[in-house]
Amino acid sequence: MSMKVTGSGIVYPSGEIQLTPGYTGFRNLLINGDMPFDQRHCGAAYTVPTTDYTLDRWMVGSSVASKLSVQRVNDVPNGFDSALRVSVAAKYAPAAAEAFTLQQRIEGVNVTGLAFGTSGAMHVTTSHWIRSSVPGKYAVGLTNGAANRSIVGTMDVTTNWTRLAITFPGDTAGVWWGGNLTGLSLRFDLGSGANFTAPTPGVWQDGNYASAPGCIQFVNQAIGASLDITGAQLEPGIIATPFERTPIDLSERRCQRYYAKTFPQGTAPGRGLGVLGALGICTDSTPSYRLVEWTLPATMRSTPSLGTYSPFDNSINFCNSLANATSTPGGISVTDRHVLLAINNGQTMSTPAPDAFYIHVTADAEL
Amino acid sequence: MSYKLTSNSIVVRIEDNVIIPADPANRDYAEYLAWVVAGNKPLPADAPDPKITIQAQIDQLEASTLMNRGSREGWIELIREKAATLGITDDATIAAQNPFFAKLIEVDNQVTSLRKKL
Repeated sequence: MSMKVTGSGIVYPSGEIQLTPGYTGFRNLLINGDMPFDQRHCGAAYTVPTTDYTLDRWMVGSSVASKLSVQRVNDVPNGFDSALRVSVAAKYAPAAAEAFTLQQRIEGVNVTGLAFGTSGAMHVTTSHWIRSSVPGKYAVGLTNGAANRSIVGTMDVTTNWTRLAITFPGDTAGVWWGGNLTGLSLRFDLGSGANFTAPTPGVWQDGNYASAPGCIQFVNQAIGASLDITGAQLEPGIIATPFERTPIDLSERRCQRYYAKTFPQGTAPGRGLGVLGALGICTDSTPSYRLVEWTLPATMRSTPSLGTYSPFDNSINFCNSLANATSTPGGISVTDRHVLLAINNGQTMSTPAPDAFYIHVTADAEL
Repeated sequence: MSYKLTSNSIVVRIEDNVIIPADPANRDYAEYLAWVVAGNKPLPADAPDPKITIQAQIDQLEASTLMNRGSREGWIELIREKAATLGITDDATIAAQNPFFAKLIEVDNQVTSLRKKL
């Protein structure tokens, strides 16, 4: 059996019909939906202090610090290599004004075609493989960039991997940002208070709603409770088509629009991890300043924030081969494509010169 | 959370030394602006270090010749040696006949002058 294009749309061999002709490629609006990229933590469990990014593009929003932990795991359904696991690090009952969510914020330019905020707003469908050690009703929803328009749906999650899908109507009202701002957010509720619980699930409404009545408050479960997700997809139309596979190099490049590092891909950023991949410069003059430069692997969404790490020393931000320089580098020039940093080598030099200076850098342009 | 200004538009978040550019679309910078609006004040910038400006001037000069210091000095010596075989040993005379040499010597003199200030 082959795929056919009919008046109804694209008919897949499985019998599924995609009602959005033209969306045969790059239909998944999410990045890293199959969770292979975890540049920040490289598979290590990360207890989220407050709102912060975990696996690439996936952010945990926490009103209270250190209640949830996230880890990339390889305990997955057939056809996948990685999944995102959220675990309860500390059981907590959220107050009315507190929310805990797992979300991906999608850049406005990538969702402009959905025409949200107009009479032509398109339906979208989210699908994902999911399971939980605490089975029951969970909420998933969408919000705009300003988080003042939202819709919430519910799904019954079991302890077994199951592919679930929810279709949302397009929002014909509200303000929807374009460009490089947050255009649309997909949110999984992990336990939110009454202020974030939608009075009417399934319809767009003013307000910032992440949960629905009767849903499990995941963060209020026993320590170690887990919720696993992979194969996450959000696509135009009313049909959940099979998870869209993209080449790994393309997926990596798409992630690097939002986060990049000089460390090897398998090394989580930190101090004292060695020079592999580090920016460096060799100099024989002292005292002086020297510039190190980094051409970013992808044009980033915005001018990135820079984290700096000494490859040798666990307490300073750059150093020479003797690990005895202690200055923090100065930002000289940062753009969405290129970074120049000034390193002061005037304080300490190997004897005799020349000496090499190294620094690791991360660039963060997440939404 | 606390911040420190720098001699340019960049802000440094003190807790983790993250360098934050002044881009309204950068979420860290947006947080910083909200922090300021809430009534907080960043630490002032350190006095501008003239060495950074001087080094930038040197880099700009060297970029104007599309070559680094080693290449520039190598070319200067090579041209001097060739000129010497013709009996010309004065830089000014060589420069008058060779615009490329003139440019190299001009940049080299300026860079040498600037390096003395570092």
